[in-house]
Amino acid sequence: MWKYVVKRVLWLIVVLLGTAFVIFTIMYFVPGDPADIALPSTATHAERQAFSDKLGLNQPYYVQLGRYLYDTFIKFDLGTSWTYKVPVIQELFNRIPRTFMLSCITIIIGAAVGIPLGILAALHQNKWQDHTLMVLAMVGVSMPEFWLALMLVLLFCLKLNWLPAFGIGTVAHWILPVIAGSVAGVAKNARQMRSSTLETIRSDFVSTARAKGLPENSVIYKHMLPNALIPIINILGAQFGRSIGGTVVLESVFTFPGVGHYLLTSINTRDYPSVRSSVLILAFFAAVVMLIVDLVYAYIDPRIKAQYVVSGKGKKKA
Amino acid sequence: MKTATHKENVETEATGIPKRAWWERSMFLQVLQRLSKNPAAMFGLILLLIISIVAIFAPVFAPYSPTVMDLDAMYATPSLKHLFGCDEVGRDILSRLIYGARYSLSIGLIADIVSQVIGVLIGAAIGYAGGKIDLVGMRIVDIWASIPNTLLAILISTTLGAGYINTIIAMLVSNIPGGIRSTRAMSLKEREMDYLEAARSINAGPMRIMYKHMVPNIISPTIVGTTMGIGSTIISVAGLAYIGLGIQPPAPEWGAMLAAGRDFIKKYPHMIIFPGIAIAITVLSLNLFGDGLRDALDPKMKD
Repeated sequence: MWKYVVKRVLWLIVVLLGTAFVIFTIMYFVPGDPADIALPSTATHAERQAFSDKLGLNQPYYVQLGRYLYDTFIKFDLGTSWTYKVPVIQELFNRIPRTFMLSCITIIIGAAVGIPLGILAALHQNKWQDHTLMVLAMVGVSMPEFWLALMLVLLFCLKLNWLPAFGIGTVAHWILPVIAGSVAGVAKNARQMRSSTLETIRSDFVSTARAKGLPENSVIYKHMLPNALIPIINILGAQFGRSIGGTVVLESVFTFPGVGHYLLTSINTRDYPSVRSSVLILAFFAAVVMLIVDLVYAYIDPRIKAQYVVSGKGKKKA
Repeated sequence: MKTATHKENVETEATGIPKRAWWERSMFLQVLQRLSKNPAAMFGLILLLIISIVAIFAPVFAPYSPTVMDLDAMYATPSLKHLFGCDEVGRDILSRLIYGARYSLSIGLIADIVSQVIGVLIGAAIGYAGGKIDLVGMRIVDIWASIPNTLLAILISTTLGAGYINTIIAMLVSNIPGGIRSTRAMSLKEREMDYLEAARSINAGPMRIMYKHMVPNIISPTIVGTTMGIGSTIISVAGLAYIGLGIQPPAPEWGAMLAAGRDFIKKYPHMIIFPGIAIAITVLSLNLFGDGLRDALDPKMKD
């Protein structure tokens, strides 16, 4: 097991380097001269030259890449914002916890509400509870979350005047972003949990448990659910990645001062060092959460552990 | 359903049981028959057909032009004359939604089918090859997929700029790793199957084994994935347009319409209610159909 943990952590470092490489390479092809964007239009030729030299923009691609990786991973320097002329890390430092919190709460609500609903639907298969829940879940997965967010703003902020529409500060500011962000997760988890539970209901060990006369509650809670939960935990990590991506659009709806909002502002002002670092930070969090989920998954699913011991290779990948 | 066709053929020849007629063996017809018994799936399919037909023949169905401005009808609220009202320059919203379906459906269809085809081609190859090729291939895919989909699409749109083709490219690049992964996982299981061993023993080449023998047997989840994937691609495209990186106004794209309408949300909410409903209904029809398709393709999964 420890070997698996060490291997996965080492792999995380490689993934991060790879991610930085991909981000740098894509952004390398952004059209336009950085000097035009970063310097005022009155800048002289010499000033522009000095700017390009300082950032090493005249050097070949691989030198710039090496410099970027060195700055990011050895010096932990994410560059300087062209718009605000301050280190990007300063701006991101306040915003990271907010985005991270928003994503985490969203995922937790998605699991805490979606999973019980899925179980409820499965245990009442083809009855009205099941049909109602599944119709709602179907609608939930089909709605764009930013549109849901707009509808919530329309109803609760503009018509009813109950909640603030944008910004941050009080708990009330968090309610709508969290609801808008969790609906899709709740719906997805409910659907997944329902089919996973139904699959478990049909498996042999459940029949055995019933056959040996265990009370129905014991069959459900001790034998069925632990096994039905395993596939869900596996997809929670991927969900976090999706949620991190989703927050970018959500933050723009609520003008929520997180990393996603900063990313979009930076794109609009063509502040590319900030764009690069925001994406890297978000991808970093997604990768770390994915790793944690993978380790938890390996810990609770004896099949992974066994696989690893027998073959000596981690078969489970992020 | 997975390996049924192969097994059945082998059994028929060995046991001398008469072969069934082609229409009984045709997987397509079997699936269609099972689908027709599923009301939710049929509802999704019919809805999808209606939306597609309306989108293809948009000029026939749209009551007004999607771009002509009528300054007398600025901000018109829904009425008999303009069913869904008009936007800030007096363009009929219903007509714009009808034309907008062309963007969403075509981008969703192209981006998703192409990425799934690429995913199957690469995924089957590295899964079937196994060993070092699989290891290196999957590491590359892991890194590729380490940037969450939406972020990768945003990054690519930022670099390439907005527009129709660039939106498709952004969607493609962010969708391909998922396709590779799922196909690879299935072919990894499938490569040990007896019928592939049989194909190997008669000296079939790897290309033939992979794409003629193996892929047809692992394609069902991909078909379902494609159907559902078109839905999530439509949502992503709208999201991209909403934040100003996808299709640009004045094009009647649904996400772009939402972005344009958000400034008027308080006074004229009809401008953002209807485009969202259009997206939701289209995606809903795809999901309903995809759900039914999954049950029809894999009877084991049917509850």
